[in-house]
Amino acid sequence: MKKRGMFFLLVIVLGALLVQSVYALVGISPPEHIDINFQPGLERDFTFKGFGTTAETKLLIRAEGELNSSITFDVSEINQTSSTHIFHAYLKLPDKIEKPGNNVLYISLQTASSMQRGTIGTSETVLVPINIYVPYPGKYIEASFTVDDVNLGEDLFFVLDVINRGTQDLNQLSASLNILDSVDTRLHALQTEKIFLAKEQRHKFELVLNSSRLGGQGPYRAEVSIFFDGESQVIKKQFKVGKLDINILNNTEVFEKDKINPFDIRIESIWNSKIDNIFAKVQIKDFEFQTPSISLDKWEIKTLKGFWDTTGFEEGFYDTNITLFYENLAKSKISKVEIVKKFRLNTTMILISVMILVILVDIIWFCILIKKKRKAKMK
Amino acid sequence: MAELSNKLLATLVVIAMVISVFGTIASLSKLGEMSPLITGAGTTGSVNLSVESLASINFSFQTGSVLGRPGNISWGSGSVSTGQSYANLTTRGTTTNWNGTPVTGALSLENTGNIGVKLVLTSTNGSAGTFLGGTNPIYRLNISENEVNSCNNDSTTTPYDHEQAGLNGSFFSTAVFNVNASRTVCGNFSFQATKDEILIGFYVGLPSDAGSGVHQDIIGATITAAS
Repeated sequence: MKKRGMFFLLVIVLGALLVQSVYALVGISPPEHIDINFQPGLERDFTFKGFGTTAETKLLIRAEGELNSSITFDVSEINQTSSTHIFHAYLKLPDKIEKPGNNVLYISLQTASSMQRGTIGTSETVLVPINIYVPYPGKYIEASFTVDDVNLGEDLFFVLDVINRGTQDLNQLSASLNILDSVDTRLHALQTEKIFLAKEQRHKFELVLNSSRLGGQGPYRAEVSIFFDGESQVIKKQFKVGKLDINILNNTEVFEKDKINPFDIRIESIWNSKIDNIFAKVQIKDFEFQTPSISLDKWEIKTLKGFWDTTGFEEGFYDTNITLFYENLAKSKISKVEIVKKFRLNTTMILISVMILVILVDIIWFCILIKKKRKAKMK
Repeated sequence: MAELSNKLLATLVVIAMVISVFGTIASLSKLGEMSPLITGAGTTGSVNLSVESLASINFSFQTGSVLGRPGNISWGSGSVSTGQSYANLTTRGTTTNWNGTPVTGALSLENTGNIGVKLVLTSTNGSAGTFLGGTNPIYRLNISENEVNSCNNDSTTTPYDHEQAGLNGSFFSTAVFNVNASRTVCGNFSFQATKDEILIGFYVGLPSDAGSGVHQDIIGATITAAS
């Protein structure tokens, strides 16, 4: 009995070994990019965990990029027989890097499989970028500027992130912000304080303005001018101020007579938050129908779909009253729609046409025959 | 022995309950004072749990809901039918002018990590000409979101055909989908469980004058943490 149990266990183990894995996975932790300010001969150590080895797949560890010779590893690969899935990378920067700015070096983990591949095979690679910032000669900044859309009455946060990427300190760094409307009229101006920024250092300026101080809902433009020791840089960003409202953009205008027609209403949210449970009621003379409810994400455009049975309506133009319901609000739009009769061929029409054609041919043939007889008589 | 009345029994029960409640309260309040004596009686406790970030992807071959190992895209050995200029092979299960085996399915690529990643697809051949040879060969791929909003693009990345219904794009007729050496497909490939999977389908137009021998390409998926 014990022998039989061992046999079954052996079969299960062998079976599991023979079944090829149905995945090809590669993973690394931590994966986030690493930022380093260049220093001649700088040395750093990094530790990573690699994932994805199987019986058929190992992971190859490499460095990629122009500075790949600056990095070495304690192991060149991880496979299923490796004692650990942890590996170490050792960085030793050269004494000089010619190219200023960001010199990117990648730590690469790539699958290498012994499985037979078909016409189209796959490979998987995960990269961890190491950004090595070499300072620019003189005064040089790197800046990013962000502002998020808001709803009317909420605060606008303008965030300016400045990094000194030059070889020199900045004695006076400041920024001025102009807010313009859609026709480039300046509505507001804000100013930051003046600061000193040492090389390789960063500073975040934050300016706040309540959106109710602008001209209501709509698109706006923020222009930030950065001044540093006699030099300047301008960054522009668009942003929107929303209000709880939905625009009815358009709707289906032409419908077929005596048919159930789809009635589409295209709507646009101008609110910077999600709006749930939106539906429309459409009234055409005494007939009324309601669309199913939908939700709109912030600033989203979608279509409400209803159906209109035009049976009993005559051809021609009709006024429709579309009323949109959302968040205990209602909004109406009067629109003109037209019912048309579409020409359709049916069996009866085809048969009548054939009969008319036959009668016409007969008449023509009869006329020709009479003419011929007359000619014969004349002779 | 004389029988006890119901009234007396009820009074005894109430007294017993009061004593029990007071006893419990007294015992619990004393437990705190005894903490130096009783080693197992802790007053407060905390659980620390930190999750390491992980960038990870998984390639597999998907036929319907069945997963197979990647590399299964193989139209086998065959030849272009006599008198025809092309054999058309797709991963939709269709082949024309071809006597090899058809392929039905797609490569499935899933973000199995816990951060969004930038996804770049590469091809070792880099073009239909290098892969197949012959006159005007065709080699195209099509990306679909198997789970909606998996592949998020920004102004710097151009998506392929994002057909949510699954590889229904018209990539047969559009050179936009030609396989090239490297292309960023997703600026931010989501990791959330319900939106972390895309499918990749292929179309190969093998010309009749393509050389004999094995034609093989490797599609590489390269990821970096999304910024």
